[in-house]
Amino acid sequence: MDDRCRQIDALLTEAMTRELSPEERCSLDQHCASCPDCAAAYRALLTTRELLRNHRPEDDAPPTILRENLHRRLVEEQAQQAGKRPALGLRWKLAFGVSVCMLLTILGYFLMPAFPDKGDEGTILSRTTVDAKEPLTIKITYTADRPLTDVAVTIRLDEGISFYSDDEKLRSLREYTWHGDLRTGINEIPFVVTVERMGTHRIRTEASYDDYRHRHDVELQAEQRTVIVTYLSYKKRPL
Amino acid sequence: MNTQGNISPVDKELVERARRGEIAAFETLVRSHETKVFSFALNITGGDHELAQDIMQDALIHAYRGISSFRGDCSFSSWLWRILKNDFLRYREHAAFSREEPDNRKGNAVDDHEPAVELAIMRQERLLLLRRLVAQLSIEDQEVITLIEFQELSVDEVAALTAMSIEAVKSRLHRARGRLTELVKKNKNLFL
Ligand SMILES: [Zn+2]
Repeated sequence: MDDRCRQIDALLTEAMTRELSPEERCSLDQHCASCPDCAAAYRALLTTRELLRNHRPEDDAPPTILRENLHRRLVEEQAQQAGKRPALGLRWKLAFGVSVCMLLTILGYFLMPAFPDKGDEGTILSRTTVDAKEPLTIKITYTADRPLTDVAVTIRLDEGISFYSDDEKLRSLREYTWHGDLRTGINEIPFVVTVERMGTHRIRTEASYDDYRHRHDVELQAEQRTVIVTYLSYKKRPL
Repeated sequence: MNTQGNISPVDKELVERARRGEIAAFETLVRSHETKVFSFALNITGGDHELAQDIMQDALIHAYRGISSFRGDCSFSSWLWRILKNDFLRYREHAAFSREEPDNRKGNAVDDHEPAVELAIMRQERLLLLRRLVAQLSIEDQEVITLIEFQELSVDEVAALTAMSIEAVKSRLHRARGRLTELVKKNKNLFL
């Protein structure tokens, strides 16, 4: 960089913060006509100034999906705080939004006498179809008629489904056990999975408390772009 | 340090309600500050939309959890981006964060005959390039550049928002603009 270029370089910096005088502009133009290096710097700075001038504050508004995700997470957060029980203890990567993420619920009832006593393997409780591409948030909901301590809920995944997480170690887990207390009323334990392979896979959940073991199975039938989710029967039996 | 408290009465009320666990109040608060905070998230991540969303989402959850520690001695957005900044720094430390180098794209200069769509795409690419340069500034410089250049706030408004003096904002802005100008000059060939 020769002396003239150095002078022009200083002028370019000035040009970013103030309007140049006609004389300054003239000498800048003259030099740039014969110096490609300074001309390129001048163009880059003009582009920057134009970019910032054309940029509107609202161009940086976050996508609406962010609000939807936030709402979902806040509700989960509040449920956890209200339950005063530990979260899953894993930092689950958040799934996408309500629009793309299906909220599935496995209902479990503890000691609820009003609940019909069905329990045969293979009984279908309900069936739903969801998008195979997106992670599925599955909430295991347990309704308890009294506080229960030291409950263990084990979630077992077939091959072809995995936990959806930032953490590689968690993604490779086939089984995860949640330990905690349940309060009277509704308790939710959310977890997120992704379907990796086409075919039929199962998620088996099993809660152990007092002298009982409580099972729920979910079947995921993945084909091309959709997954048929079938909630199979629950079963309660003494340990 | 401005000790008058820079939180508006409306925000103050919403913070109180959010502290009592009102999700809707927290969401209303977020809504009125989200663009400024997301703008900062975009600049801090060098224009990585997905990462900016992830970090913003985490920061908002951390803010909700820690709302009782918010004392109102700065604005809510200022408090939010402090959380976001810490989350991002932690993320960068732990995750294998390899900052992508701006690609040496050899685009054609924009001429008058270019269709509008092409022009818009070009602008987006250049804006991304600019954000990558902004991301190379110090966090303090990014903050003032985001608020003044991207969010069009006045020096007075930034002073009120960040609880800094007007003089301090002015000198920080001057320094930040100077550094950004140097970065643009150094990367001038990317803007071709
Ligand atoms: Zn020159």
